[in-house]
Parts: sequence; structure tokens; C-alpha cells
Amino acid sequence: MPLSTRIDELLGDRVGRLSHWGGPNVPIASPRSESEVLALLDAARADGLAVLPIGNGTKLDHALIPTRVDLALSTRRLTGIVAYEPAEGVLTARAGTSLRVLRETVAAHGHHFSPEVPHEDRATLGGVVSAAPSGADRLRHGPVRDRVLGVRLARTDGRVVRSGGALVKDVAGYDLQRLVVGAHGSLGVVLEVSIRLASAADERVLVRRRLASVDEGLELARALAAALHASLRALRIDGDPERPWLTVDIEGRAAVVERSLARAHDVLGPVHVLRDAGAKRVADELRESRRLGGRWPQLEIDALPSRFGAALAAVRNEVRDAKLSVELHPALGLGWVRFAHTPGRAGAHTLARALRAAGATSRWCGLDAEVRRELVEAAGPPAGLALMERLRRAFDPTDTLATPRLHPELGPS
Amino acid sequence: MSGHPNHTAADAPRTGGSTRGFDLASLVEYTKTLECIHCGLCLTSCPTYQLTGVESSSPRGRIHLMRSVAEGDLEPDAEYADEMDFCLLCRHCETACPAGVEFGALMEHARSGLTEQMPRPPLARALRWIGFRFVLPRRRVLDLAGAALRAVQITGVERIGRWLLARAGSVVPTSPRVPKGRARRRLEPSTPADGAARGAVDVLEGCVMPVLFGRVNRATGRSLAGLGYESRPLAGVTCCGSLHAHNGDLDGARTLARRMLAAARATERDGSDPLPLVVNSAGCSAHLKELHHLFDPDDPDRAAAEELAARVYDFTEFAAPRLRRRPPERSIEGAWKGPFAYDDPCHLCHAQQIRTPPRDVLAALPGLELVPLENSEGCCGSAGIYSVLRPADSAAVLEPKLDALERSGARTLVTANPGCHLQWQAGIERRGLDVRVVHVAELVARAYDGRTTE
Amino acid sequence: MAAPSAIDETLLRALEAVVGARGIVSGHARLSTYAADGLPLFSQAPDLVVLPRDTDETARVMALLHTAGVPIAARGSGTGLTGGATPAAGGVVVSTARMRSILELAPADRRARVQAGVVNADLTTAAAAHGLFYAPDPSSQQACTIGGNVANNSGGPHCFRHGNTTRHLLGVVVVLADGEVLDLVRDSNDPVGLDLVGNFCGSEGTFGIVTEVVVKLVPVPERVETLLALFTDLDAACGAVSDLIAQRLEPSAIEVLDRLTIEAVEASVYAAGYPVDAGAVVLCDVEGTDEEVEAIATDLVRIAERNGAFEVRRAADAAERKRLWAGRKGAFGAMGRVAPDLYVADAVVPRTKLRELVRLATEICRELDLKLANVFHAGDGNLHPNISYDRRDPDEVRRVLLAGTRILEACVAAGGSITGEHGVGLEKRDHMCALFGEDDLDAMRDVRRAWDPSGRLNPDKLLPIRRCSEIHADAVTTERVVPSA
Repeated sequence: MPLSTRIDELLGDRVGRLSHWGGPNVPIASPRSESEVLALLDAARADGLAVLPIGNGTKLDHALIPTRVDLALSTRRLTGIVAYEPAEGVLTARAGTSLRVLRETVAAHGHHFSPEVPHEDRATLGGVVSAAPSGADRLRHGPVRDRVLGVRLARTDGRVVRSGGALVKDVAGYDLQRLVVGAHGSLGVVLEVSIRLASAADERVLVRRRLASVDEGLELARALAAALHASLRALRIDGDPERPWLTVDIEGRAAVVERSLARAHDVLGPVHVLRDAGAKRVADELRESRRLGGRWPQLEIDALPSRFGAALAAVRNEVRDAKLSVELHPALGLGWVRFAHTPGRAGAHTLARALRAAGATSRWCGLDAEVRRELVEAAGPPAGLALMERLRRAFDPTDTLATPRLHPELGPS
Repeated sequence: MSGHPNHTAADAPRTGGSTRGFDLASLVEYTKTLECIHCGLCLTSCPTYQLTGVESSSPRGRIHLMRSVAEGDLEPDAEYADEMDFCLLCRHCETACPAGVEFGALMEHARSGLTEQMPRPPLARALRWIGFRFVLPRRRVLDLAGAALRAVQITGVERIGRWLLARAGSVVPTSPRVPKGRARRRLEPSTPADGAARGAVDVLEGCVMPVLFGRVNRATGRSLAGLGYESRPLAGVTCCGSLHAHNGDLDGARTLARRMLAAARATERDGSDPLPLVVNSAGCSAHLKELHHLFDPDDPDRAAAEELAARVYDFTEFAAPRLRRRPPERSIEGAWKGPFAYDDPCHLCHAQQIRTPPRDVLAALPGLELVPLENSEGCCGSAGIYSVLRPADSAAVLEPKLDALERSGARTLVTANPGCHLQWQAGIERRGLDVRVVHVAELVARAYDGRTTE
Repeated sequence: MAAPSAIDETLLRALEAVVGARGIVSGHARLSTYAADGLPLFSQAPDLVVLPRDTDETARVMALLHTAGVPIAARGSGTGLTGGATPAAGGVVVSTARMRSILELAPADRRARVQAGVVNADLTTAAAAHGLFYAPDPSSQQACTIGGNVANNSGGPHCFRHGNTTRHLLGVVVVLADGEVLDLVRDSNDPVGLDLVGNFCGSEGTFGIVTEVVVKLVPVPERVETLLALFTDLDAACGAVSDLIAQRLEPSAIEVLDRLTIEAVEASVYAAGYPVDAGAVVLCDVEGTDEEVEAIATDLVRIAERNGAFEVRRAADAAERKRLWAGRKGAFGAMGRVAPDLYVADAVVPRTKLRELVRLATEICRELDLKLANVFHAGDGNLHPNISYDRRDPDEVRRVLLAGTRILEACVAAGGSITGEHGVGLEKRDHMCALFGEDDLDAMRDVRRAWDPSGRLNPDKLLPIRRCSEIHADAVTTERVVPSA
């Protein structure tokens, strides 16, 4: 389908193909300025086109793939740090700024940028806010929604709105940014974000131990979480579920780390201890390992920590013979199970049912778009779905943004 | 500094009642309400707010009502009167109030004002007059009333009467059990110290104490003896007037206060320091320490009242430091079942801020195991004659306290106030618990002389 | 001028059938006590108060009131400081004060489910049995309710480390204006769909009435130390705090109290042993393992001293710590000793600018001949200039409000905000124009309409009811800052 002349002008030579990330085969516009973003939205609205806001597409399939997309709008070229006052601990940057740039900038001033997510070179700030993935450091630094202090958002009618600000404490007005975080671009295009930074730790140590089973890991994780909760950056079980690794990521002041290390020894016995560059290399590898989910089907399990073991048991029960690899964060109740082979439509439904029965929520990446819509639908409407749709319509009454992203019923019927 | 008048309680004479007319009094009291800045920190301390969740039944709500009446925005009406009456005057809110609002004094004056603003029905007025002006101040009438009540109780007439009233739909307060005549005997004019005397004290025998708790009065004497003090009941006074003040009869309270001051003066010997006045009822000791609130600054009795206040000791306050110097040696085991729990009388912990001495006293008694009681500073619902005036509310306030008592596992509940004593006894009986109630003086006496309370 | 009340006998009987006789407050005197919350400057008695006991009763009450078409103000303990619980004329107050059950404590998942009327401090007391506590600790925590905390996204001293209510909120059950119940409690880390819970937090009673809340509980730290750094003046204390932040030191609370505040506290039942000879003190809690506490405390002392602290004290034991904090939390009420009324301003500034803004506030109050005391969450840049006044003096009231406005405008101009934890309510409704543009406010209006299409929930609050251009024009000509009732 030919796009309108106006959009073609705006696209210029900045056209790419979305199909590379498993999305539909559509052109990607990457405007260089806010005014270009607004012009694109305006033209798309006038022509009745469906626009999918993206960053670099690294988390595109963390949400549903819309049934109709005419144009992807990438904010990857809206880069740059708008404000960073190190003595304040807050950073404001444009949506397209890459996580690597952000991390390196703030690290020079003793800050840590959370979340730590895969594709650090390509993942953008806007994408992180829109997809709100669980970072490798979530246990210590919390979910993305807790770090976003404010956003600027382009509405499809051309108005730019600000919510929140660059202050660590501020309750003026409604928290619109909380709606935008995790909305996968279904309310507007994120232009700019203010983030609360964490202090970088003085020391960081990684403790690794081979496990006989996932269950052994769950047992040890409980003991570790109780013994060193404050200094734990992450606590994960990963690899082949028959013979997984336990990784304890500890950070803090030097004396605290040493004490925690001693406590970890008490719980774990002999372990590999990685420090400094070695720790960083392994941690980076672990962080990036989840990007594999983009290629292989990956099931995310989300449950209360007390039900996490039962949820895992449910998965194992359903897929006894399948070849799997796992990444589990038992203290959070979050885990990712990667399948070497697509479980198929019926298999996916069975798994989802089993997990629901165990009190867990599940989400897929890398699975057929239609099957994923079905799976979300089968889980039943979440409470407040009608309200969510009212909110979506309030922001995008012309349905210019491509839907559905969050739920099959969030979009024009 | 801005030019506005800076009203504080310190500037204002604390008078009320009809000596100066209510208008002036209400203005004076009004300035005290201004200390309340509506922060609401008092809410959860208030037993009636806990019961209802209703703002007008909270200290902040009641102060708002008093202020509205004083400012002329609100005509005192039945609702207003009901909220004033509903208050237990436990003064828990004073412990919570950062602004230091003297809620107890405010409420006494508000109630005093009410008797003029909204005269009660003739029957209620007559009953109050009989109670406050005729019975309480007169020893002989109190004795007769005690004997009559006992007769009614042992003949079963009381039960029939209660049954009839209950059938007619009224909530009937339980009347306190009156012990037999021997137990109602009065204190000797002097109880000597055991062993080497350390000094002498006056004690307040009280109005209903000899009738209902003669044994506690005697235990107080025995405890003082054990501590090394000779004790003499203050002659010429019966009721201290605290019940009058709490219930808005400030004139009656003032009359009794003057009588009290005269009796206190009579004990003064030339040249020697006045003796301590030991009081075993927290409500009375609190009232006697604040007697000066009843008098104008220019009234000579105000100074006399302040002097008296300096002489007044609650029993636990007097005993705690002296127990250390002469520790009792006899185990109290056997006389009461342990473990023990102590419940803070409101007029001890909130009105006098006395919390540690009673616990120190208990800790000094051999063989006593004390367990904590949740919300021990919460009101039990007795509140003087409140349990008689509003029996249903009074019982409801006690309910969560009874739950806490059960959870504590205590078999003996220790108190230091006769009203609380009766209230707990009634509640424990209602619930069928195997817990006894005892006054702290009874325990101390036993630890010294090994005799059980008679 | 008062319109006939929409509350007739039939409605009253229907409501009473739901909540019982004790769940209804009517009658002029009693209703008058609901006219204001912790900000008596705004006062409007409701026509009725209803006190449901659970979600179901609330839903039925709201459905009945929906039919009657009356405005509704939700109220917890009424300790809010911006008139958020002040009813609209002809309105009904729905109070959560009888919803006081702690429904579930789940130590394994470190969460608790409570009814909205549970008092903040009671939750922490209950959680203590499991070695956990509820972190947000507003100064009114002995009286304020969790539901009220959710509505206002309340903060507190220890929110410096732990964050405001929103960071501890895992789920809510909300009753919408028409009586629909939204059970937004999830047994997962991330919600499906839009984050309605996050959006609800801080909506100040304009989205719905919260009846149940699920919150995160935090393990009680192994050790807590309280440090008190003494300065000769407020300016130096503010400088020290900015330096602590710049050095990325992470105690759990950083508070500043000035001399006037200290004097008021020391004269109250909460007297804690604050030095009355210091011009200002910085009060810090440090928590963690022994090593952590020692390391942070050492740095803290060093930084305080290089910024002019003439003494740094450590609380000797838990009892002294408790006293110091009780004194801090009673500070607002203790100001009642200074004057009959207290205007508690609430503003935020970038933490690098504490010094200049506190100086400016002092200057503004001096010019307007007002008595100013400062006690605030310095670590978060959350100022609380407390201005004492007497509400019977109309000119003083005018000057207080003018000072409030000027302070807020100065904070906004410095990159700050008009509220850090008390919310907007009635008081700061028009100040929203200082912080947001019309497009921003329109987006908020859209969101509000999606939650409450009827517009009856706390109408006239949080968002300006006129265009900002009109408000700005008005402010220039009349200096009027109080929204007309």
C-alpha cells in the first residue's frame, strides 16, 4: 500500500523493514526531531494509517503484535541527554538514547542506571519505558515503573504532554507516567524520560555454584534471600534445568560485600567467586543471555514467590521431554523458560492453563502472533479492561496507534 | 513577630461554672481549644472513636463542637450533649496531643456549661442531685446505701428487678457487689509502721472505697506499714469531688475541694513539713493534683490547692521508690494465680503520666510473673459513673480489652483504681473467664506481711 | 442559596439498610465535624456521612448515591493537609473509618492485604511479629489510614530510602462512582494491560474509593542508628544535606528541624532532648547490617562536620531513637503552641538548591511579617515551611496564603514542584497552573473522565476548574489565591 506523499517526504531515505523482528513487513520512519514525530502522527491520522511506535524493536514481541500496522515510528534518532546533574541523582534524556550511552554517562559520576536489560547497545530509553522489562537487577533496584519520574509524550492529535518531572519526590497531579510505563506505545509516543538513578556500588561480587536440580536452587535461594536481602542485586538459577547454575550477585560497600560473601559461603559451601572484571564479564553475559528469547520461543512465568515452585512444577509436568533452558529469579517469582522447539498451539494452551491453575501468569515471546492473542484472551479479561479501553480512547480517539498491544480487546472493535 | 494575640493556656485563668457566669467561663475555655490545630493525631487514641469511627465522637471532633458552640456557630443541642456525654474522659488523647491541649479540663467545663445551656430532664436532674450532692459527700448515707444495696443483692430482689428492666428493653448496668458488713469497716485512726518507722503519711479513705473496697484501703495501710510508714486517714472528708468535676458539676466539685483543703490544713502541725497524702484511687489522685483548676487565680484557695497537689501521691508513685529501700521478702505465690497482667488506669497513665512506678512495684514483689497486656493504656470503659450512665457503651469499650486479656494468658489482672476494678470484674464475669482482679496495694501488703486480703 | 438536599428519606432508609444505623451520620452538629480535614482553612459540612464496613457495602452505597447524583468526598482519618477530604456543597462523605481489618499477612511473599481504613502504624505493628514493616511513614502515621495514604501517595521521613506509597502498592480494590467494583489485586510482578494501580495512587479521591489495599512489606533491618547533627544555623544544615546527596550517601531518612520547631517540640509531650541551643539539626536514620551502618555513619559524620556541624550525636539506644522520631513526627501538632493555626506548606526543590530556596522562604515570610518554622524531608528536597497564624485574623490569613503562593512559585521556578507528599486537593488546585501547561492538564482531565465519567468524585479538586490563563490574569489583578468555595 503506498503511503501518503506527506509521509513519504518525511520518511526520506530513513526506511527499514520491521519484519526483521518478527513483525509485519512495514516501513519504519525514524524522525530526527520532535516536530517530525508530530508531523508524522498528524499525517498518519489524516490518512487513517495505523502507527506502531518503537525504539529499536528489541522488545517488540514482549507485547502482542498488532493485527494492522501501516507504519512503524522509531524514536531511535531522538537521542541525547537533556539534563543530568550528578549531585541530584536524576537524569533526563530523549527517548532514543541507548542504554549503553546512559550507563556509561552516569557510571562516570558514581551512578547506576537501572534496569539492566539485554541488547544494551540497541535498547533505547523510550523502549525500556514502554516495554518495562524486568531487568537483571530488579531484585535490588525495583521495576522500571519505580524509576521513571516523568515522561513527555506525544499524543496522536499533536499535543505534547508532560507528566511528573525530574524530582525524586513529587505528587502534583495524576501519575500519567505510570500509565505510559509498560503501555507498549498504545497511548502515545514517548519523547523524553526522567529517571531516578541508583548509587553505583563500591564492590560487586558474583558467586556461582553448580546445582543438582532446580529444586535445590529454590531451597538455597530461600535461605540466601533471608540472609543477605539488602545486598542482593540478583539471585538466579539458569541453564539446563537438569544441571543448572546458581548465581548470587552481591553488591554494596566493601565491608558489606565481604560479610555477605561469608554468609553466602555458610549457605552454599564451596563456590566460584568472581570479582571485578571477571564478575562484570559474566554479569554482562548473563544479562545478554535473555536476548536469545527473541529467536526461540520463550515463556515468562510471573507468580508470587510462594507459588513459584508450584508454577515451575506445573511446567515440568506438562513438558517432560522437551529440551529447555531456564532463567529463574525465585526471590521475585519471575522466570523464563526457553524451548528448543515451538510447543505448538495446543501445547501452549495446555501450559498456560496449568500455570493459571498453579496461580501464575504467563507470557510468551517468539510465538506465533495469533496464538499469543488467543492465549491472552483465554486468560479472561483483566479487571478494569473497560476502563483501560476508555483510557486508551481518551489518548488516541482516532485509533492512530496500532493495536492491540496489551490485550486483544484494547483497540477498536 | 506578627501582631495577633497569642492565646495560650498559660495566659488564661482556668475557671468555669457559675461563680463567674458561663459566658466569661466559656470565653476563657475557648482560648484553650485554639491550641488544637486539627491534626487528628488524637483520633485513634480515643475509645469512642475506636468504637464508632465517627469524627464527632473523637477528641478533635468534640473540640470542634465546643469551639463552634463558643463561637456561636452552633446551638448546643441534643446531638452536642450526646457527644459530650459519650466521652469517657479517659484523657488518652492528651497523651497523643502534640499541641498539649488540656482536653480533660476542656471537657469538664463543656459539661459544666451544658448543665446550664441544656438543663437535663427533671428526673435525671433529681437523681444527679441525690447522687452528687446528697450521697457522695456523706459517709453515713454512703454506708446506708451500701448496706441497702447488699440487702437487695443477697435477697435476690436485684436479679428480679434487672430481669424486669431487661424485659422492658433497657440496658441495665450491673451494680457492684457489696461485701459483707465486716469487710466494710472503716480504717483505724492510725495504722502504725512495721519495724523501724520511716515516717508518717495521710491517706484518703474515699467515698465508695470503704463501702466496696474496704479491703484495698486496709491493704494500703498494711503496705505503708511494711514500707515503714504510719498512716492516718484524712479526717473530715469523704468524697474528693472528682466524679462531680468529670460530670460537669463544677460547683459541687468546688465545695468538696474547699472541704478537702480545710481537712488538709487541719493536719498541718506547726513548723513541720506537711505529710504526704497517699491516694489509692487513680481517679482521685489525678483530681487532687489538679484541684487548682477549679479556682480563680485570685482565689486564695487556688494557692492552697497547688500546695495540696504537691503533697498528693498516687499509691504506686509513693511505693515504687520506697520498695527498693525496704524490699518485701514474702512470695505472693499461692494467694493469686499467675501470670499477672497490669492494666494502666487512664487517670494514672494519661492524667498523671505514671507508667513505670506501678510496674516497678510489681517487679519488686517476689514470685510475681508479669506478662504484657496489649493496649494496656486503652480505657476499660469504667470512667467513673460512665458505666452506670451508659452501660452499653461502657461494655463495648471493654470488649477488645477482654480479648487482649484472654490473649495475654494472665490469670490475675492488676489495677490501681476502683472504677477499673469493678469494670474488669463485671466484664470477666460476663465472659466467664477464670481471672481475678486485684489492686496493686493488695499484692504489696501480702508481700510484706504474708496475710491474704480479708 | 443552598439548594435543597438531594438526600431524601427514601435514600436515607436505603443507605441505612446497607450500613446500619451506626453507619450513618446526619444531624447538623455531627456533620459539622466533617467540614474539614487537617487544613481547617477550607470548610464545608456535608449533607450526610456514610460509613460502610466493606467493599460490598461501599459498592451498594456508591450505587445509591450515583442514582441520587450527589458529589462524594472519600475520607479516611481526615489527617490530610490540602482539603482533600473537604466535601463539596451538598455532598456526601464516604468514610472508611469502619473498615479496619487487616485481612491477610503473607510473610513469605512480604505482602499484606488490608481494608482501607486500617491505620498506617497498626499495619507496621502487626507486621513486626514477622520481622517486617510497612515503610511509608507519614508523620500522622499513628492516625492516618492506608486508604488515605494510597489516595495521596503519601510520603514520610523514611521515604528517602524506601519511596512514597506508590512504590509499596501492589494492588487495590476500588469502587467507582457508579458502584462498580474493580479488583485490581494481582498475584504477579507486572500487571496485564495498563498499570491502573499505579495510576490510581495519588488520585486524591477523584477516581474512586479504595476499599482494600495490598502492600509490600520490608524486612526490619538488622540494625538502625539515629544520628543528630547540630548546626548553628539552618543555612549550614541545608548545605550539609545537599552535600550528603551529592556524595550519594544512602541513609534511610534525612530530616531537618530548625530552632523554632525544636522549641515547640521540646515544650510538648513529645519532648525528645533536641538541643534548644542549635540553630538547626539534621536527623538521620542509618540502617542495614553492622558494617553498612558503621560505614554510612562514619561518612555521614565526616560530611556533616565539613559542612559546619558543631556536634554529631548518636542515639544511645532504641528508646532515645524512638523519642527523637516521635518528636519529629509530633512537630506539626506541637506548633499549636506557637499560634492557634498552622499552615503547612509542602513543596519540592532540586536537592542541589535546598539552601537558596529555604533562604528565600525565610525572606518571603519576613517581608510579610509571618512566623515561619521549618521541619522537612531534606533528603528528598521536600520542604515544609510551617507558617503559624490565627484564622480569625483575615489579613493574616491573606498574607499566609500569599506567602504560600510565593514560596511555591519560587520552588517551581527553581525546577521544583508544588507538592511532594500532601497532594493538591483544594488548596493547590490553582497552583497546578504554575507547574503544568493547559495541554498537560487536559490530558489529566481526560484520564479523570475515563475513571469517573460522572464527575461527582471530589469535584473541584486537584485540577483547576478554570483555564490557567484566567487564573493567571486573576492572580495578577487581585493576588487571590484561595479557590472560591
